[in-house]
Amino acid sequence: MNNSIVITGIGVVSPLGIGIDILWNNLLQCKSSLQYFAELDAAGYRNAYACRVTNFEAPPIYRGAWMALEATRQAITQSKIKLPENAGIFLGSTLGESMAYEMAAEGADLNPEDYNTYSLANAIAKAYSLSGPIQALSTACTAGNYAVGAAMSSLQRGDTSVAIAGATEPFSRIAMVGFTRSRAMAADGCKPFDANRNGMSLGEGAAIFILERKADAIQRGAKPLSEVYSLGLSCDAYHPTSPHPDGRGLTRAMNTALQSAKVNAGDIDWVNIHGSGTKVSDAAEALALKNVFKKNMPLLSGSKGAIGHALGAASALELAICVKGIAAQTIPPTAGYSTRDTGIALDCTKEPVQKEIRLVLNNASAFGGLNASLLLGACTS
Amino acid sequence: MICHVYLGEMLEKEAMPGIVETIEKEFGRPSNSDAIGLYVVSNHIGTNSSIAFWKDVIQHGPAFANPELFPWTLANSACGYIARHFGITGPNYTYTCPPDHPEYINEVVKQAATDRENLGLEEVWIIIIH
Repeated sequence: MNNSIVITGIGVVSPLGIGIDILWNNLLQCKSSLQYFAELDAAGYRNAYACRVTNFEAPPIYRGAWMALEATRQAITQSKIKLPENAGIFLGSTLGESMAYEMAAEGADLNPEDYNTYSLANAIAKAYSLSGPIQALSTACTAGNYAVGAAMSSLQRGDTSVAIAGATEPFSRIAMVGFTRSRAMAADGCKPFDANRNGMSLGEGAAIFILERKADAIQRGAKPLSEVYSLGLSCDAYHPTSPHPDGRGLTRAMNTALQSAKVNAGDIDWVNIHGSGTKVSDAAEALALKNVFKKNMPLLSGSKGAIGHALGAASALELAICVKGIAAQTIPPTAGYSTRDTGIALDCTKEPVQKEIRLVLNNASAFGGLNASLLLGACTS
Repeated sequence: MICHVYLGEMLEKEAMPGIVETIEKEFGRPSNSDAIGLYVVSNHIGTNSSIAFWKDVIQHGPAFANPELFPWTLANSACGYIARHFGITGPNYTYTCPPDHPEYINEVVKQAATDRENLGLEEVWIIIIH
């Protein structure tokens, strides 16, 4: 088994920019993409604020696929790779093309299952005439981490020589109504870990990565951006929508990631928190972080105050931020975080922090009690 | 271990009690639920609730739709339900694909085998929902 897996290309479609460099520069300026959308207000939505990609045109029912294809194009370009026919596709999404389900309910003559996560993965395979393995992971807000972990496993098994992995999620009216009616939305924006947090902001986007075995990447002269070490997974098995309040599931996911890579918690330099901005989710994640790191808390940052919660694409977009942060040796500020919550008693970055970054955990949690913690790091020689 | 179960046209929340009953008949109760991985495969899960939820939105408007069905619109709602029923806290995957696609099912089997080896899982449950 060839264990070392690296990322050699990133592609991003985000509400704060199309392309990782634009997103990164906006993150460093602590910008937020939250906007008011008059058409949501006019349609009777109680919350008309969201983080949407307003400068990306696509046929509405293919928006998720087109965002994934654009991100794939960017990742391939950066990687400078000629894709082999057996390249695998590992794609995550929550709902796929949510609009298809809405249209089916409205009486349109279509089968919504032709627009699910599998169809999005197939769109990439067809665009590049690939016949390698396909995995479509519908693991909600953890899907990006799952997809990259699945790609890592496939490469390590030797099932494919190159993996296209990541996640996509178009703006979903189903999710917009569902989260609003579940009182999980904050019209004034997501404030991860903040004392005044009161919910999430819905986002959208896509992030795709090219993954290869490290030896293969070096042999073809590619420049690895970071190394992917391990994925820790768990399920709370507690509640359909709420995390276990003691954070046991995310604790297990982080510990599994660390143990799989034989890394000590004290060696982690940065955790990109899930930080959805809801009271209970952030409180549970804070307990999990304390369970794992105790008094050696690494620096914490969160991205959902800047780009919203892109559901299935969230952890992929945040992984792109982690990879860029490793390359820049900089941890971005946490848009939306300003006031310490005495209950959480943990701080997030407020300014960009330049420091040596060797190891990073990217946390994600989801409805259904899912937890996924991806460990990555600076590429070692 | 692979178990085939059927959702058909039922709403997910109504079908799940029968689905876990079938799984329990096939696999029994787990002796160590922390050491089990769950792998749900379906092209269908979440569809019926998504359509029903959106019909409710059309009928009552976005401000007054009943949110009860919303968690069931997510494809992974079934895997979460199964995990809660059996107390399974290990890896919890939901794959979307046509369930009669042997190459694809083989991908799931390989991932389950990898997890079993790497994580020391005692059992891996692959549940195909039609």
